[in-house]
Formats: sequence, structure tokens, C-alpha cells
Amino acid sequence: MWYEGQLDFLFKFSEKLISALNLQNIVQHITETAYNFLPVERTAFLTWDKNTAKFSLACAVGLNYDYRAKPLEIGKDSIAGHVMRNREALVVQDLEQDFYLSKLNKEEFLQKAFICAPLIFKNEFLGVLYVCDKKTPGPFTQREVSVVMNIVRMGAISMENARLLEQLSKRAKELEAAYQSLKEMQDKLIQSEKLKAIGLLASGVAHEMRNPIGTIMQGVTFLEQIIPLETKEVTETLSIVKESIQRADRIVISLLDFSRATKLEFSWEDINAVLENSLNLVKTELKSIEVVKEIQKNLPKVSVDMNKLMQVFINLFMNAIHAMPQGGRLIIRVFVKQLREAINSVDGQLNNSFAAGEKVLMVEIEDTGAGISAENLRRIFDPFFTTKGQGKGTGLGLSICRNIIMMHKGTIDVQSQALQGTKVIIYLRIPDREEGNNG
Amino acid sequence: MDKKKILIIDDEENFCTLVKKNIELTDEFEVSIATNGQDGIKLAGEIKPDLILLDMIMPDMDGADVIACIKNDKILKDIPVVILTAIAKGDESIPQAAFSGGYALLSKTTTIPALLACIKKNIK
Repeated sequence: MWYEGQLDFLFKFSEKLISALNLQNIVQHITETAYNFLPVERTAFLTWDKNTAKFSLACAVGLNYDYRAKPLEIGKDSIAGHVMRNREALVVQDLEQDFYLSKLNKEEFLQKAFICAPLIFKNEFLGVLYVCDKKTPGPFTQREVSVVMNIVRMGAISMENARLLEQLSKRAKELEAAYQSLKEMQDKLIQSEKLKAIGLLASGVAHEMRNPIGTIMQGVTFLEQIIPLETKEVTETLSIVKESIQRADRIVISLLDFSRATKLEFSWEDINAVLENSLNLVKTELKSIEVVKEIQKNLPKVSVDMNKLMQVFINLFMNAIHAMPQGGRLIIRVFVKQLREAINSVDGQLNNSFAAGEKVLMVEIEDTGAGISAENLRRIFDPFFTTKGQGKGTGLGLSICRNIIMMHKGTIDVQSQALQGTKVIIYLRIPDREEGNNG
Repeated sequence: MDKKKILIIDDEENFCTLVKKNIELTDEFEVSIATNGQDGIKLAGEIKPDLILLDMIMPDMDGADVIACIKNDKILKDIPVVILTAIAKGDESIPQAAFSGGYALLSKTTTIPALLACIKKNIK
């Protein structure tokens, strides 16, 4: 027989349960509802963790101590364990009178009378709810027991739903993370394939271009010699043609550089010497730029192709110089670092990645120039991408640098913000056996 | 004194014509042209040039095939060869022995002074 108040209460209880999606909220709601609806001193909820085979006090109302300060954890050998094994509610009017249960009692909040009801959903045991010691005289009534049973029945369904939801959202997060990392990998691979395709195309185009370029150069040279030099306009025109064709040739040379699967000539080098040599070659361009060197002492030698690496450094120095037309500082740092976290290669290739804990030789080339916007930064290694304006850059410099560093099984990264300067970081491998460091 | 004979073997006819014009401006050399490998070897046998300017990438018979034929020919085997190629990078002769078989190698976009210097250095 349902009382009107009981129906109203159950309706409100279920409404609240449905809207609570978080497991802890549901447990709290169950525990508080039981306390508010029944004339009892205390209510408590023990959740069961099948992985640790332990009950823990997840929520309680009416305790005379702060249960959160000292979380209660008990094993199967307890009254809760007894209820779990029997899978039905236990109604105790006087605990002291029950020798068996008194011995089992590990629940610190139990005194005299209590109902302990299991929350079970489709055979899955989730925990137990206690309602303890009536404020009103007399034993627990059948009506009170049935209220508790209704609470645990509905509570179990909600708890299971919340658990499923939690699992689902965890899965969704895992899936999302997996998707993101796959997408990142795919982007890098597409980029890498794109580069290979461009490389092939570039080498074909470069070869085809150089024949007509060579022919035009020969033609201009011939005309220069047979046309009397006093014809100023003609010589001027020829000189412009010659200059332009030489520029075209330089572009084609960088295309060839970009596409060529060059065999590197490795030798043991002192990275500082390579940097110094490169710096010497751009010295005249430095003008009002101050060079700051922060070089760690006793650096290990590395096995590199000196000419190729110089090409990289010169390119990076020139980029830095172009970014600081009004002057500024060019900072060169070289040091050995043990990586805290893994560094992924710019093209997603495994043999160009570094593991966490690995020691790497790092070269940083930093300028205090104009910086690069986030949008441009994403495309910085794309071949033919340039911000230098028409005719001023081929947009291949950094792509070539990247290829050269990749051929050294290293990796390269650019950090920059508009107006904040730019930092290029090169990670070079330090061989296990530093053969070149013996002599 | 007779002019030294140079043979250009290159499938780019326009290129050959202009190189010939430029070299002949010096009045020191006489230049003949063949626009494929087979014609080039045939012509070399006939005129016995003092130096061959050879393109690498050509249809049918490429520069490497031409070199192999010349090396196997008793009469032609000692003729110096300068390789002119579109895939060499710089202006100057690059000692890329593996690629050029020890022959001088020049970019097709080289300047005439550099080409003449290379010819004079290698010609017999």
C-alpha cells in the first residue's frame, strides 16, 4: 500500500536521480534521500570496488565525525560483505543481540538498529545503503524497509547508467585522443608524401628548365660579343636578360638541391667549427646585428656532412638577418640536453624521432626580428612557401634545411610569434659510440 | 696552325648552335655538332676531334653509353671529354668522379669564359 507522501517522494527522488549523471552525485542523493525521508539518526553508503575487493564509505549523513578526513575502507569480512554474499537486505533491530553479526561488524557507524540494503543491477553488485537507529521509538517497520528497498532499486539503475555513461565518455575520450593522434600522423604522412612528389616533379622540371636556360645564356653571351658595346640600350637590355636568366638558374639550382637524394659525406665534426665557418660566410650581411653565442663547453663531436650542415646554418642565419632589417640580436646556442619528453619528427617518420630520456645535441638559432604569425608558422616547411615577396626567395630554403636535417636523422622545429622573434631548434643525434671524440 | 676540333654531342639543337657560335668567336676552335649519341660517335670517327663536349641525358643513347663506346674504340679512346649537363649544380668543374668517370663536368648554364677555360685545360 502506497502512501501519498511516499509516492510523491519516490517521484521526486526518481526525477532527481535521472538528472544526476555523475556516480558520486547519485550516491550522495541516495544517502541524503534515505536520511530525509526516514526518521533515522544516520545513513551511509558503501561502494564496492571489485578490482580491489574493498568497500569504501562514499557518503554518509548524520555521523558525529568527518568521514572524509579518514576514509573508511573495509573488506569482504564485514556486514556489507555478508549482505553482498546473501544478496538481500538485512534488517537488524539490535546488533548486540546478534553474535555473528557483531563479530562481522567493521562498519564504524553502526550502533544498535539498522537496515543494510544491497544495490544490485542485473546481477552486478554495486554497494550497500545503511539506515541506522530510528529517532522514533520501536523497531523498523515493514513500510520503512520497503522505502529503503525502493530507494536502492531505483538507485542501482541510476548508478549502473552513470557507470555506463562514465565508461562511454572515457571510451569517447580515448577514441578522440586516438583519432587526434592518427590525424596528426596522417597529416604528417600526407605532407611527407607531398614533399616526395614535389621533389620528383622538381627534379624533372629543373632538368627540363636548364636546357633552355643554358641556351638563352649562350645566346646572350654571343650577342654581347658581336654587338658593338657603344649601343648602350642594347647592352643594358642584354645585361637585364642575363641577370634574369641567372636568377632563374639559381631558382632551378635550389629546386635540384631540394629534390636531390644526395648521399651525405659524413665526418666527425666539432659543431662549433661548422657554425663558425657558416657565420664567417654571412659576416658582411650582419651590419647592425649583434651576434650572441651561448656555447656549452666540451661538446661531443657529431657525425655530419659539414657542407650540407653549413648550408643549413647559412640559410638560417640569412633568414634571421632578413627578419631584422633594423638590426637586432642573433643568438646562437649549442648544448647537450637530456630530453624530458619524446620529440616527434616533423614528418612523422620514426627514425627521425627522439625518445624521452635520450641525449641530444641541440642548436638554437634565435633572432629578435619580426617573428612569424601562427598561420604562416604552420606552413613554414612547405616547399615554395615564402613571405619574402616576389623574386626575393624561392620558398625552398627551409624545406631544404629540413631535408638535410632529416638526412642526418635529426629533426628541426621553429618557434615563433608575430613581433616576438623566431627560434629555430635543431636536434642532432649523439652517437652511442662517440668514435670521433677520442682524438 | 690548324684550329683544334671540338665535337658537341647534345640533343638540344639550339644549345649546340649557340655554344658553337660562342666557341668559334675565339677563332681558336672549329666546332662540329651531333644531336644524338650514334651520330656523335660516327662523326667522331670521321673528324677525330681534339675534345668532345658531351650531354648526359639524351634519348636512346645517353652520355654514359657514348662514353662507353668511345672508351672501347681504339682510335677514339684517348679523346678528352667534357661533360655538359643540366643536372650539375655550379658553374665550375666539379670533381664528381663517380658520376663523370673522371671527366670534367660542367653545368649547362655555365658561362662562356668558364667553358673555354675548361676546354683549354682538357684539350690535347
